[in-house]
Amino acid sequence: MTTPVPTDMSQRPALWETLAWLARLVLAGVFLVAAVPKLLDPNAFAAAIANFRVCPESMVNAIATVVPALELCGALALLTPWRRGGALLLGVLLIAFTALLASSLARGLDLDCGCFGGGAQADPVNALDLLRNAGLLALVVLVLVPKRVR
Amino acid sequence: MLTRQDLRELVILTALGAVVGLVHLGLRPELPVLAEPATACTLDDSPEPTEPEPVAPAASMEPALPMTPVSSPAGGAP
Repeated sequence: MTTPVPTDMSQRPALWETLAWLARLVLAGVFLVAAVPKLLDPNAFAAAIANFRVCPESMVNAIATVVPALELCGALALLTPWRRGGALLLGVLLIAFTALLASSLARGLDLDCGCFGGGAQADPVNALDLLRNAGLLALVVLVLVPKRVR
Repeated sequence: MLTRQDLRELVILTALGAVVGLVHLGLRPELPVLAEPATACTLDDSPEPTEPEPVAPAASMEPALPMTPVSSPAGGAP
């Protein structure tokens, strides 16, 4: 004779799985939206990187093409069985972006974020960018938390 | 929390992204070698230099009247 499992206990893993799936979907969407304009117009992204004044000018073009490719790889990996590797990659990128934004805010630089490519929709760096990155990092952690911990 | 498999996936994805990015860089020769800092505005930015005064052409520097010899003070009246 088997004892019935309480309903709330049986539904909890399913709820977490749904949340993790939603987190993967949101992360993949955000980073795809961020990567595609940079890949299509690397000149604008290179100018945005150069404005931060944190890397040698000879490295700007390489960074302007490699970073969007990393974002694209991480976003696509989130939709595959390599989701944990993709989440790790996006987490590393998010930490680097957040440090860069915090550095520019601390130095009082008034420049375009370049987070979603350049052009007319570019926004100046502000504290909301840090808050957005913190939220995205929380989603990365949600993807990375193993099932047995949940 | 992180397993060896996770780190392996991270390394492979990073290498893949780097290769894709560098190939993209090679396919975009129109990218400037050195990106120009465009519109960063800080307090320490120096103002733009003012335009220099226009220099008059050399021909206008000549006197309109013919030059007359001027006696030196040594050869003048005692």
